[in-house]
Amino acid sequence: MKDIIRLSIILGFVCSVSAFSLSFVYQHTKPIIEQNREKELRESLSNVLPETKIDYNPITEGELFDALKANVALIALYKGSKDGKTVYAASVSVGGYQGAIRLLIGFDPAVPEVLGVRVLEQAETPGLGSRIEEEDFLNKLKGRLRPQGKYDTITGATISSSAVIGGIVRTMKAVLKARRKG
Amino acid sequence: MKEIFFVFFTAAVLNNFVLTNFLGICPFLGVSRKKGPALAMSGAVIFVMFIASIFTWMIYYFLLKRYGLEFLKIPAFILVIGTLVQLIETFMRRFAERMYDVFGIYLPLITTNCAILGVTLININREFTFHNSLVYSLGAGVGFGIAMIIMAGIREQLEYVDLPKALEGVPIALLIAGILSMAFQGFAGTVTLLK
Amino acid sequence: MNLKNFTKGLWTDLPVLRVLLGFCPTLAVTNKAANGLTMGLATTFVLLFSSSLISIFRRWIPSRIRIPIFIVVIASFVTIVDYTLAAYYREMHKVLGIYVPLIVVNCLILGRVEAFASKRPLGDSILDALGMGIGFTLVLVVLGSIRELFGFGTIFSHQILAKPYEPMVIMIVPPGALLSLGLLLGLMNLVSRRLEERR
Repeated sequence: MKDIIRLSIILGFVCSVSAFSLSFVYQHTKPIIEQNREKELRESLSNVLPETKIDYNPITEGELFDALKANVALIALYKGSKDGKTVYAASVSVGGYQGAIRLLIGFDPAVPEVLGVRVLEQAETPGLGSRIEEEDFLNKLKGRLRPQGKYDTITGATISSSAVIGGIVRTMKAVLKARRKG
Repeated sequence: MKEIFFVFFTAAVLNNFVLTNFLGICPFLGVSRKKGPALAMSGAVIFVMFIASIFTWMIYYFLLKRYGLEFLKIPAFILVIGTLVQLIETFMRRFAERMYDVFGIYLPLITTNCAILGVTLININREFTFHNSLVYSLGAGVGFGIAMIIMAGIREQLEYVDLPKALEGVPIALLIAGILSMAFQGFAGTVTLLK
Repeated sequence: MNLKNFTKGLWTDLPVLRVLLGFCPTLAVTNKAANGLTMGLATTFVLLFSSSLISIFRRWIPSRIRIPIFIVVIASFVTIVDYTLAAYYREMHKVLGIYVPLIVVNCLILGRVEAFASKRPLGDSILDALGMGIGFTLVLVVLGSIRELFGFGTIFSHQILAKPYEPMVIMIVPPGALLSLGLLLGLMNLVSRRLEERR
């Protein structure tokens, strides 16, 4: 019995030292990790909503939010103001070839038109599906909403690029729906 | 219902734990020479993955996160898994001797199996709900089993083949696993198409 | 301070290719040489500090609970590496993903600590850890370079093979990892056996 107590105390001591040191490291690195995340978010948002004053607090309610939530896998919605107009950026998740693709779509609901697209996360086939990150492809997705068939897919990456296009089309359709209501 | 199927299918086939994510490759190479042990090991893995997922998920959300101790995730999980395996082994030895005879020796090997820790970490990283975690871990285990059994079937046949000496043992197993992995890549895109 | 403790990690007991352990990270992060290097260095760090700490306290660690203690120590250093990478090398951290926490179950580390560091003085343990760690890193860098060269045409992101060369995507996807490692292992066996025969 005494043995077990002794062993437990030693183990407990080791665990405490470990927990203490880790806590120290965590306190130290957590702010930096948060900062990095903020920085990345800001970069992406500026990328899809150029020359815009962006509000970095995500929107969690409203017509647009509900419409998007209902039609696509919405992760977050942000608002910005450009030349007096209110524009938005939505980060959505679509199912790609090898897994989920996270897109950030900047749009102007008034027209409605796509202002910019950025791929935040993807795990597609390197060299093929991963080409959805290319500027050429993403730039062609800007502009007014067109029927899905009018968008060009990438040769050799049909499923990956179709997934991205599909995501954009569904998102913009949801935006249209919300606009009609409001 | 559909979501459950997709999570399971993704874990078991699409992103097969062994052939796509390389988790559990050590026991995979070690125990896949014959179908019997392969089946037994798979059973043990599925079982431990499932139970480990339950406990680690609960410990993370009800204990670690609640008190702001997320940084203790790694030590906590691995200790939980190790303890669980010990408990399971003791339990089996006392109350389920038959099961112990079949699965018993594989249990300690599983503790340091990247697959178990991998599943529990993925459950948290991808912010799965409790139900999804369970389905995911089952899928992962079953996927592991499928890969093991196919591998064992092939390796049993290898006994009758002339191999260059340099390739005998692990190298040829890796090459075959590579071909199997290629075959499994064929499933990519199924989920998108099904949706 | 036997220097042999260091050199054995570089050839006779070369991790992955001789001592058949540590496959998970080897296969998963070697699609680019830089990733392999980072993983190798991270693992070496954990191995070095865990071995040192355990070697220093080896006489105070009760045998019955040594495995949990080893695990707590190793897991702690792994957590430190994980958070450090997340804070200062964000891109690399994203690429290496869950394989950093999985260093904890890398049989190399637990195996080394159990078989060596817990029984030997600090000097020897440090040499052993360094040797194994650097050996492991070398393997990862070599495999990573091969896969990156044929899969992307680059090594450490420097373009080596240019346009007319069509990169073999298979080298950077999972099947390619398994095939490359299998062939490398086979080659290693061949080479070491030929060297043996010469003696």
